[in-house]
Amino acid sequence: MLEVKELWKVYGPLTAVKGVSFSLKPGDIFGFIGSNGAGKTTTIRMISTLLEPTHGTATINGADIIRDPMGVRRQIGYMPDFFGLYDDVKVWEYLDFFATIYEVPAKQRNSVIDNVLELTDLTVKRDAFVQSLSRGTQQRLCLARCLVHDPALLLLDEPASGLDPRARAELKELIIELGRMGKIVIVSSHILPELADFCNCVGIIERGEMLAFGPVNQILRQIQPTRVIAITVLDAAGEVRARVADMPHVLGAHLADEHHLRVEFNGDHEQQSELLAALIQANIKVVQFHEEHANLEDVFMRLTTGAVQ
Amino acid sequence: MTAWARRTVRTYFGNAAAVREYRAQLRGNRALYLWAAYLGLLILLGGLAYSQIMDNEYAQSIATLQSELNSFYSTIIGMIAAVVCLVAPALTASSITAERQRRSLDLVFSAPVPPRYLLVGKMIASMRYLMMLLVLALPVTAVCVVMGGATWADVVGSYIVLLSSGIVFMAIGLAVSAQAPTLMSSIVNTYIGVGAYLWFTSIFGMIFIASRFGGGPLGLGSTNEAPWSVVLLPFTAAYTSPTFTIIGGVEVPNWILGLVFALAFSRLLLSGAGSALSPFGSPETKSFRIHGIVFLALLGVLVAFPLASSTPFAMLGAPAAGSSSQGYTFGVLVASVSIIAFWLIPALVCHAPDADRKFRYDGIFSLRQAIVGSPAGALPYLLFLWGTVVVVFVAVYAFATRGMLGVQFWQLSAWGLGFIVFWWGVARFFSSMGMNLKSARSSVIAAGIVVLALPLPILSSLTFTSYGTSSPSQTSLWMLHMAYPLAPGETVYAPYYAAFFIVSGIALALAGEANMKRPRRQRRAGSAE
Repeated sequence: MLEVKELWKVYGPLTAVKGVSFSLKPGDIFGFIGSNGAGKTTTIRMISTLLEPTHGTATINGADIIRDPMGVRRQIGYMPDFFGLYDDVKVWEYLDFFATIYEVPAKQRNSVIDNVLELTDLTVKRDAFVQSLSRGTQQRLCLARCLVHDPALLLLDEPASGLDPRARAELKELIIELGRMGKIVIVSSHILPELADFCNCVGIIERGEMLAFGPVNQILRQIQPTRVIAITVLDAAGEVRARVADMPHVLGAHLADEHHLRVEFNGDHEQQSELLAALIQANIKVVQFHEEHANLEDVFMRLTTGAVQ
Repeated sequence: MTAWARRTVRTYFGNAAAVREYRAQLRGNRALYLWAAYLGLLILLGGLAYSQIMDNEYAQSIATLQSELNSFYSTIIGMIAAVVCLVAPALTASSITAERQRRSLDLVFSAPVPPRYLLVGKMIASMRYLMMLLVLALPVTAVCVVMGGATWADVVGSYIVLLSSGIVFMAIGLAVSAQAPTLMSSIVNTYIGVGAYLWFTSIFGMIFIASRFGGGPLGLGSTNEAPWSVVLLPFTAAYTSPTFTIIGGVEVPNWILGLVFALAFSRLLLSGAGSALSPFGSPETKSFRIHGIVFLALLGVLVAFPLASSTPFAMLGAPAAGSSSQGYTFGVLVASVSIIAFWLIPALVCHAPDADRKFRYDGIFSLRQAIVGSPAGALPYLLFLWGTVVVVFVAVYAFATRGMLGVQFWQLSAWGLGFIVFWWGVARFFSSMGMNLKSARSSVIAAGIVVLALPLPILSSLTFTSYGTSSPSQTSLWMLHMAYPLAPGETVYAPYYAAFFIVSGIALALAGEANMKRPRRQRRAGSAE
């Protein structure tokens, strides 16, 4: 269980993080969304004990980042937005180094290394030098490094940046698998559609402030509490609008252009099909009738202003 | 206790950072080629030195030949010392900076290990490499033993002296690289640090050599008793390793004391590096500050005990053990420590807004912050350092001679206290002017150069007399004049100087406090004017 309580980070006149709070349970995959400089990395670095908060704290399974940083570090795997790989080191040596500093018992180290290599599909690269690996493979190696001590919480800062579509898809699968294994995964990213695919929870941060936090569907509902139905008609939409506005469960009808209407609707699916039937019965020539779904990008654009600190 | 023991064992045995470094050092044939070239060069230079010595047609008698072989041995040790001076700093000079540039430090420090683990690992790996170089040189030094130029005991003593120097150089490299922003600055500053160390230690080593071979005033050629500090210079290891210091009637080999010094000093430097890599208020910073006090106390004992109980320090111009004028000598030492502390003042005292809160303004004086490491704790910590030296000198002197240090000791110690408080006030004042940290520190150093270094030649030229004369002149105005009085009687004025310095320092600090209460923008405008 991760509980972040009122985290603040102040750099002189600049406040990088302003009272960020949230909590996550095992199996949660949390998408941390924000523009560059919004405070994502600062928050992640504070949770990973690399940066001291000005105020507030966070606890991971009872271990506090201020009072027990070593206890926290034993439970987290931090993957920064850069590789930080050593030259002149082979893949297994790199993992062996981290397994040792994470206090994995010497007898178990080899099997742990084999397991994480298998999980990240790097077994064939066991004896390769890390500097010879492609970017995507290095990224997977970084993830393997985070897993050597079987952490409860994974902090992945921009894990998909610079990856090709295939590597990105593989990484996505891997993150989903880690969530299934019961780990809490925090992923910060700019690629919003992908986050929506595998995150069950998102947080949007801007200028250090958490603007929204919760399950993806809940956040979508927050910004779009009513359903929106897009209707395309052959007739002039302006004439149709008034008739549609009087129909049951319709809260409002807005003209999108000459032939398009956007209807705010608070009925269920049955009532939605009744609306379509009513339109046809009223001799309105309907060409298209579909519900518009908001996505994370819409939410992000709606909530944020694009301002940076 | 168990947890502490487990942590210590984990840090020093099977350290993962040491294993990783060593793997990288020995990867491929690179190390093999380097060692072969090193050994070849050593044999070549050794051969040249030997042939030159043996070609000496006047070396006819056995005594002369013995002396020539001794000098051949010292040449070989001197060559190995040169290798140690060049290679040991290079092993660590860029190690932390390189990790910082590679951005791999975050990966290590997000794991449950303190900075000390990484630093000790790098130190162990570098030490193994250095020991390998020393072992490879054994065949060449063995030739000296076989031919009679030295004994195995001499070789072991010399090697330990060289290893001690190597440990210090590697620790200097780590301490510098923990602070340096770029590889170049890290390497350059490491070698400057090593150069300064060699310059400082050469004072002891070269005086010893001069007195031994020049038939100096002390006739040290007839005995191997010498101040332990002579072993700090690696180039003279062949001569200084057989020396000893009498402590409590026991002849303690100086290479043991040199090794103790090297281990303590390198530990202090590693603590400093650990503190630089840690956030505000970390245990590493507290450990560094406590190490500073302990190291100073240890150094105080190592200096004071032989000085108070034995004669060899007389060759450095010190009065004989137990004489009444030793109060003056010890007083000058306290004043010197205070002057050296000047170099700590910009780092400890200056404050400015910074991301890590390490140097942010937090008041003027706080005993609690002395060990935590914030600017408010700077003066109490400096006073602790000064007090440690004074207490250790008094205690050691009383233990060794059953007497008390004379009044001159207290007069000069008071001057040292005044000097520290004055520069503390200057640093507080500059910090209050709205500058950034770097500018505030640079300003203190610049003011130090203007006040401490420049006046002497200028004042001397005004009076047409050099500092070497004790007659009153404008040179009496020089701030450091009282620290090195030309006649012991002059120390009577030291407390007046001290009172003036303390009042000025406190006034400057209070002016700084008043300045801090003004808005930052106004302070900046004030400093611009």
